[in-house]
Amino acid sequence: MKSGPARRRIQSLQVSKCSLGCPILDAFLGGGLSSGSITELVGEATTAKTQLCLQALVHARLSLGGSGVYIYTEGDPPLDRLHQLAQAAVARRKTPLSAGDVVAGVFVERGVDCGEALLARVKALQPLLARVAGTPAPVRLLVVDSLAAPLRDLGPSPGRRELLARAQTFFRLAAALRALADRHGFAVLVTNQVTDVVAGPGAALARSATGGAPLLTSGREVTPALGLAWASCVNTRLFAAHAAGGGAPGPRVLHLVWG
Amino acid sequence: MTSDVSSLPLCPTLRSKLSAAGFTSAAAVAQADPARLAADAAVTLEDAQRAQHAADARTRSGLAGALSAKALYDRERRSQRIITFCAGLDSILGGGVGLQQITEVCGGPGLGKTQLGMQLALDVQIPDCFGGLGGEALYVDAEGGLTLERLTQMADALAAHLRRVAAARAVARRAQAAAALTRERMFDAVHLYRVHDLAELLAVVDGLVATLAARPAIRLVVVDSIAFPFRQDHADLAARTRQLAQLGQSLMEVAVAHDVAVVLTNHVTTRPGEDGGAPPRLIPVLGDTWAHVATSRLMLYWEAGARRAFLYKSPSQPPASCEYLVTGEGIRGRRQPAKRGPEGECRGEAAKK
Repeated sequence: MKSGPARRRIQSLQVSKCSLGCPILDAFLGGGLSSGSITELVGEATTAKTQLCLQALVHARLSLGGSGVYIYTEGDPPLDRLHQLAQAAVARRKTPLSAGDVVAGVFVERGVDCGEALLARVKALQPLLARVAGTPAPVRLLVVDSLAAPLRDLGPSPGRRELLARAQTFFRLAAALRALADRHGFAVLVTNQVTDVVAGPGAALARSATGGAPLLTSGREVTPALGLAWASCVNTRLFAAHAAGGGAPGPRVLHLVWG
Repeated sequence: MTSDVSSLPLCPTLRSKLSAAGFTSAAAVAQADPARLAADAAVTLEDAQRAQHAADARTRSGLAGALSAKALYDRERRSQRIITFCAGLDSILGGGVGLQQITEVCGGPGLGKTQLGMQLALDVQIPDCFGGLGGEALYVDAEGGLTLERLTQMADALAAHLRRVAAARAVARRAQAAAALTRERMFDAVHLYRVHDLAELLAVVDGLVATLAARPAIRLVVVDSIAFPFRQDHADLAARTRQLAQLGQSLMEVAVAHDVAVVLTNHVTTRPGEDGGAPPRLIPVLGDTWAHVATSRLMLYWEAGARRAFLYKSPSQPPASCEYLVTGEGIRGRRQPAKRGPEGECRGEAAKK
């Protein structure tokens, strides 16, 4: 008789939330990011997605005492920015930790250029996760910023086969992330880009990934990149938008699409 | 003795609602499905049952139309459903999710497939004296969608609802049963298994027979979702098809042998539009072989910003669609505008036993 996973007690599902470093955003998310599941932050460029990721990593250290993993896929990781945010946060609250301590708790992964590489890198985290699990600073947050960069480009003339292969990568990646997050008790935050929605029969389908309603940013309708397959891997989808038209710097709004 | 509805010993309002809905003879009332009767006449399920008892008594005394013991038993069995708390959904499903069958719920993300699974895992626990199954649920979570917060919200709402019903009309044991259904009890009655891949899913399903034999109180098995573990490996389609067929068969055997309802959630994908022809549309994943496995299939979709469900395969119900809501309390129906009631009350009450 094969023995599968053991029964979980519902009551034991209570886990601490990972703060985003802003009480308003945290309240919006019911306390912060939930562990064991995938939260995705979608938005066009300049909607401060990376800023939010870095802030969450800083606060994982300051409020939960947890380490973080930051997988950056868009070139050189913004380490200066991370340091700045750490300094500002440490100055604002009474803590024996220095900005250096905070930054030292973030394990940065770079040079991921395609889906397979990302999947391999995630699976290869297991020894690190196991190593820090017993310490006072186990990993509490894993960030992939962004998922779109290594996976968006399907090649010169993508057909059904390329789409299916990419979809398979999504499901494997989501499974690997959630399995690790579940076993080690950390939250997963993934950023994603947007695609413009063209009016026509495709528009209704685009909305199947946006909670049935149009998502607007800078006055135009968009849909999250990577399609319905990836959308089916996301537990919580957040949409960061520019409220004003024309992409002018102005108020940014965060929507809970589902979750 | 006339067999007209107007002569049944019921309150006049109830009688006029029944006739207005087209049930003019006692025989029509006696032979109708209780949930259908309640929905069509816009009365509570309780009133519908009371009407049926009266109609039964009337028709039996006329010999013709007497219900045999077997017919009564079959009607009991068939009418044992797990309600969803949305009158529209319950109605199109024929009273709720049926036992001894596999009901597939497919749809895109954010529509509430997981919410529906969680709602059913609580509704199966509705005590006998409220017309429920008083059972437990086995929940296989393959996507990490079941959260303590959300289940707590839904459990609290269900408990509050039962207490209100118990207070509104004193029926033996109800107040006690409602009080006994605490959060703790409701959580203990959900047997949760978290699976991350196909191997783990298959292991849990393999162990189902033993688990259900050891816990006969379990009357519902939910798998959310059946799609996620299978979509991780496209490589060997033939193997996947075989595994799916086997899985379907195991689940069907378990459903019948242990008299449980099996509910599986499934994803959708875009089927490419034909060149110069039909536009692209959304179809369930897992292919044609899988399509034959489910006894009943419900497709959830968006229409003009509203959530709708379409029943497109069923052994007994015609194809039909309805709107449903995902609220702070769980799955609910849309309140009829004319009906004023306390927050959260809705037509769902009409179909609830």
